[in-house]
Amino acid sequence: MKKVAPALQKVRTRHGVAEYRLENGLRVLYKRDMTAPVVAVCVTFHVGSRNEAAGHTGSTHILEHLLFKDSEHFNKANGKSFFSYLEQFGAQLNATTWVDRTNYFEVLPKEHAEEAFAVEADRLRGSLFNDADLASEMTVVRNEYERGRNNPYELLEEELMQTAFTVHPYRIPTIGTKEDIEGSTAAKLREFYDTYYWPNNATLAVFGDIEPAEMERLVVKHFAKIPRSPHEIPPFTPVEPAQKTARACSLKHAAGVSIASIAYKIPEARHGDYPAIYALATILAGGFSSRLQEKLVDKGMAADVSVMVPAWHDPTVLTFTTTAAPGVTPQKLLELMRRETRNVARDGISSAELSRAKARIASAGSLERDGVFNEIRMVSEGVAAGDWTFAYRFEDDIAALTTRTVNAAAKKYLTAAGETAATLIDTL
Amino acid sequence: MTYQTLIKEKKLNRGGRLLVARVPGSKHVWIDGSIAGGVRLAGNRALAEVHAAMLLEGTAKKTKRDIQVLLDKLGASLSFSASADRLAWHAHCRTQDLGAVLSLVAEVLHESALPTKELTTLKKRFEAELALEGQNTRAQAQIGLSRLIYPEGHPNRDETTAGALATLAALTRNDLKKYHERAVDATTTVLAIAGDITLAAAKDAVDKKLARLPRGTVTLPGFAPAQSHAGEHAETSIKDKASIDYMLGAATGITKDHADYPALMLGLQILGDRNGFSGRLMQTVRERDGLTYAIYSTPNGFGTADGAAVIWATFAPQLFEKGKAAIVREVNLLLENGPTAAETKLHRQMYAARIQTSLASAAALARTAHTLAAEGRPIGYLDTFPQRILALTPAQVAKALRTYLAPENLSSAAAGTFAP
Repeated sequence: MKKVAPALQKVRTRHGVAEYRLENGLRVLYKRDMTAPVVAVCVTFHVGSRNEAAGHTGSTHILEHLLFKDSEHFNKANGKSFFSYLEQFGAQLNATTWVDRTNYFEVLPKEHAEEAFAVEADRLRGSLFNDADLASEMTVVRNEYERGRNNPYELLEEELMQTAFTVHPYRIPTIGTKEDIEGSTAAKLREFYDTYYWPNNATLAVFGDIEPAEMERLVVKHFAKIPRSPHEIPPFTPVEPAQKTARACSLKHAAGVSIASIAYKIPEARHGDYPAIYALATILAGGFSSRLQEKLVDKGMAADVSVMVPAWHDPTVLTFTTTAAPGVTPQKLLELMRRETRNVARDGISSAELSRAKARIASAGSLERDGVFNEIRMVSEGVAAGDWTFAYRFEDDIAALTTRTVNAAAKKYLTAAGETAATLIDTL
Repeated sequence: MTYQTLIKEKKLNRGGRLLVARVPGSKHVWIDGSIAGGVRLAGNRALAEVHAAMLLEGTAKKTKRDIQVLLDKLGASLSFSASADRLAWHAHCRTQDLGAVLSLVAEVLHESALPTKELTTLKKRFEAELALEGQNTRAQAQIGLSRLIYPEGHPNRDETTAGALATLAALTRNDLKKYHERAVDATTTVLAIAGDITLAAAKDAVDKKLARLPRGTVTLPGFAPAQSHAGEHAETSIKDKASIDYMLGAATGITKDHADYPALMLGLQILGDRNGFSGRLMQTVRERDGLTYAIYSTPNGFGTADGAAVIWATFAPQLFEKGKAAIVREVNLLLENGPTAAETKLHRQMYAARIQTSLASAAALARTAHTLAAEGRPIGYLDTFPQRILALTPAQVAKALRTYLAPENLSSAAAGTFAP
């Protein structure tokens, strides 16, 4: 008798997560976790705002909104719209769009887990959105954009990214420009959907209190019938040219406070230097005892300091942001931040600082894995960065760091040529 | 599974309640604790909030830097905050470090140094935060509504940003010291711990480490409940804002213990479910009419006082009038016809089932257990309250909404840049 290959092929198991592949190219990640009687499901599409063409910024995000409208089997006409259908079972659900990915996720009581598989499979190729749906949703998205414009930190970040990047779409915020949001068309969004929303461009993650055989049955039942894309998923090509000199930008705004940010070019999350950069950022601004906390906040120069070290698919920026204390200019804050980054690049870090950073990062990891709903979204970010094992192996990579590797990263990345400085000057 | 069995409780040796939910595997614990205090005891927001923040600025034995280095060495987080009626702390650490973190909590509560130098710096920080709050449309709408619906002295009535700035400017170390001396009462402790720990181990650690906390006689000052009254309206104009925050609501004069509370809560969920997308406001004002990104209705301020029924939404200035009218339309429709049997059933089911998904993490278990205990409720409330929700009828829900959401009693506050 001829042996039939199973539709769902196991690829490997890493960090307690099993990876499978369906014949249509859908990657499936599965982890059994019986801590709570719930199941979390997340579909990550490997498309984000980095994939948008000029003139169509914000498309990925508007499409995410439209994919909560009617689909073939979940629609208002049959009384099964996405939200009310899943929420009746106690599901918590949502979706988010970010630079490298779009994800749709829900957590449900385990006895209703199949509903999430059915909904996500239908969303994948069965969406029915039309012009009328876009007409009402465009103003919803525009209000989301407007709410963001109320936030001075978002305004400054937008300015900074547009200065730090000249070519790469990371320079445009994921929500897009107002003109592009208002100018979007259902036909264009349908084209975007038909280009990127295919099983071979997606990862399905299933974490929670569900047996492996049942998970396999539900994946095959709901997803195996969906065909792979009839075309190759378009490769992403823009490459940001190397930054050769320092850049700066400034804006004036009625914010109540002035804000300063300083950013440095860093590589993609999968790069071998990323863990050292992350530890360096923690030492500079990530903990109670960090250098910028001590020199800026504890000395009364700033109200707060924060740092972002994006774990993105492509090279990006490490950004320190600080809010000026009354009477302190943002230029002064830039000067102080610059002094600290230069000091650390020149003199290096101490082993005590590295030890504290390691403890803080390890502890933050446990927060990210608290409950399957958090863990599945953590894995989704790894998928977006190009390696779903990213968050799991990250802790091991951090534990293996030495002062030498962190000092080398400081010298390599905290350079004047790679710097972008941004200030928001309060006009009140 | 019941929450009564998942979350175990013991009395602490020094008085107060300890609640522990064991979630094995993470080697970490999430801690939410508090003692009676907050704005009600302090008398104003600046004193309560600055006092909470000053606790990590140094003790008789440790400088601020010592505390910071200690927490980072452990990889632990610890923060203090003041609510209307509690001085609260939130922490996260490895299970093996629970004792060290609790020791630090006890030390800062018992031997806080309240150093003048750090107070000067902290006041600058607060000044900046209040400057941001002054430009924050949501915060200003919320403050505005609370001042329209709650009377002077009510714990849910917010101080204005300008008022908080003025009391902050006048605040001295002596004020903090005097307040601190009367603010710590171990008998009012509520401590919820969730994570990789047993009840016995947690009880042992807490009793040992908090043994030195003073027992006091803290009693929060009383207040008069809010009365419903004819709606009033306020607008706060803020420059250069692209979106307006709008809040609409009425004081109910009832607490969570009132017989009408479950029906009111379900009614507000039907009108504008805060935790999902199935409420009427989301389905109509957002999904159908496209007037807003965010809108919900919810019971507000029912922790340990009489609360309000509140609706919140954001609108572009040019859609503001349309948005307000759409909210009024939906409120009137629901009041006139009441909820349908089908939507009542949907929202009853949703509420009961959601408990399970919303408590599927250690952080959520600690936070929820602490909130319930601080409100003086038994943990079994998590099991019994959904049963009361499941028993509600459309008529009961309609009656509660008509009583507490009467259009003539709805006050509103908006903040943003208004269209000319």
